[in-house]
Amino acid sequence: MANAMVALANTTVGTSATVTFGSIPATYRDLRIIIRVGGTTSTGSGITFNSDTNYSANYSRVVMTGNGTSASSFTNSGAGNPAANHDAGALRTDGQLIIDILDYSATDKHKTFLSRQDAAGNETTALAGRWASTSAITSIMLANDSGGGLSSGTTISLYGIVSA
Amino acid sequence: MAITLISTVTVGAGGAASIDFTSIPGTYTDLMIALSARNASVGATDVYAQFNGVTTSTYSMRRLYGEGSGSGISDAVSTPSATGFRIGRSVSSGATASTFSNCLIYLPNYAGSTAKSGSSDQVDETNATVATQLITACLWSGTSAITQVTLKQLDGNNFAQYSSASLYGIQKGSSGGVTVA
Repeated sequence: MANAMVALANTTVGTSATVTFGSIPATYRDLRIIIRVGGTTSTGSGITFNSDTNYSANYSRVVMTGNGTSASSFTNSGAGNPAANHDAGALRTDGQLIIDILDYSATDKHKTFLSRQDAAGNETTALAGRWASTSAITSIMLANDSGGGLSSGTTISLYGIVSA
Repeated sequence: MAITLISTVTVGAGGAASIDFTSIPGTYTDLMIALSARNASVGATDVYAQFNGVTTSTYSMRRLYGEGSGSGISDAVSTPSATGFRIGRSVSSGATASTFSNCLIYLPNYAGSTAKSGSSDQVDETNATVATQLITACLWSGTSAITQVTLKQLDGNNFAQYSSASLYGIQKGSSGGVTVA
């Protein structure tokens, strides 16, 4: 594990803004994004690959969540709720989001990602998402679930996971 | 590289009441702990973390888990307690020999001056009727940099021999020509 993880980029959101990682090389096996939420506003997150905003056609997810008293599971896909289709997990005050994007540079498969969202004051969530494209991921835009900016003070780090 | 093994503790013969990491430097961005745990006495129990020796009611959590049958269950320590940073469970001493629970804990921004959040994923499978998978959100309201992590069992019993924990430092950075806009 000692040589398995490479720091690729990081940023701290100054004023509310979206964040885009670009020119991502295809030299790693997987990608990991760590988001530590700043500010006091809770929103959903939105993840967009390679500027593909056709959320109703190309993004879907299944979610399992617990809020401390009850557990639930649901899906989002298709045109019914396109804003939610690309939601990678809630962004809560005092919370964090860890997103693993598997085989991101493969050109023979759709892309899947696993995310874990945690906020002790709200809920814990596991999410599996799919981007229906065989293109290698070269850019990732992170926003709130309305396409707006992330809260000031939010820190985001991108890592590459090396294959054996 | 972005990940560094800081320390590994393996419990010796006779067990140990706690697993401790001390003098943790503030030079990393995040911390990660990989825990393998078995209870030295009867009964599986929760494992919790305390930081910097603080034993006051400053820890809370919400979690979601399944035990091999039925629907998922969610519970919480929503009123902060001294044992509220519950990261997972240990395996009972009566479980199948040589089985341990596995737990991965992630602590972002551990050296910052705000409250510390944590995320954990834990599983145990002992070739028995009950197996457990948990995901947990934790919070410590302390605003000091974390320099010490203590892992204990909720029932107060020892960790069994061969229980182990490894502490990793995760360091952010920039490489490979990736741009940020």
